Amino acid sequence: MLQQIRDKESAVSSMLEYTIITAFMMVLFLTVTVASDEVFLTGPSEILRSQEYLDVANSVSVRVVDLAVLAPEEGMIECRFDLPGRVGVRPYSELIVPDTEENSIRIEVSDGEITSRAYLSGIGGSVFVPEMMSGPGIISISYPEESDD
Amino acid sequence: MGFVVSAFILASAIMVTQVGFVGQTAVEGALLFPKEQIRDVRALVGSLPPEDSDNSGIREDVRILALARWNAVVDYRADASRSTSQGYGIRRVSLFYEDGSVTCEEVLNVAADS
Repeated sequence: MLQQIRDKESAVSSMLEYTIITAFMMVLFLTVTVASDEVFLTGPSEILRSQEYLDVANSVSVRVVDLAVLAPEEGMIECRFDLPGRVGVRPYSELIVPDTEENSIRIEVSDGEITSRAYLSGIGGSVFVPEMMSGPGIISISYPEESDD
Repeated sequence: MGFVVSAFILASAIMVTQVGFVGQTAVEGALLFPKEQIRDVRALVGSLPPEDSDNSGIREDVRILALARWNAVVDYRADASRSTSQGYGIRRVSLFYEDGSVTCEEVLNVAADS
């Protein structure tokens, strides 16, 4: 009798094995599913976006410096350039702020979540740039600043 | 699970292709700005022959060369030179540069033989 039971215990052990392995795999699956969004998508995307915003800020800064270097004493110079419409899938905005503490001009590019800053190198203290805000697309900067009257 | 991971790897591969474009905008801004061109035009205007008038042909040559080499419209107009009270010759030259992205209009006071 006892011998017969011992012969049939393989049914129980294989079911236990199945349950344990399934539970283990499900825990692994859930961990990967929860973590993969952060590891594979959000992290790289934030790095990419902040670099791209820094790139946009640098390009605005480069143009402002070039324009200030070439600015004629009598006359005007105007530069129009195109900025990428979107970074990833998000629109963004540029903000040019005179920074009195640093005695410089700060260019902030942001989508509300990530902000990248660039400073006008060298000319920040000597050139007056009014505070302005703009978006992607074709941007026009001119020197001297066009007045409304 | 393999399917989920492969979907994420596909998404991050798309992101990796975008990495190549980082830096492009700033480099374009630094390289494509026509600094040298505008300086060349200024230098040229500063060394015009004193008797140069609009009919001398130089102006037309400058226009054609600029259009061919830089894809830019360059024009200038030189006034007749006049003497200052110290006896130096001076004249006003207005120049115009336009290449589609940069427009420059300015008036230069150029030294000239009186």
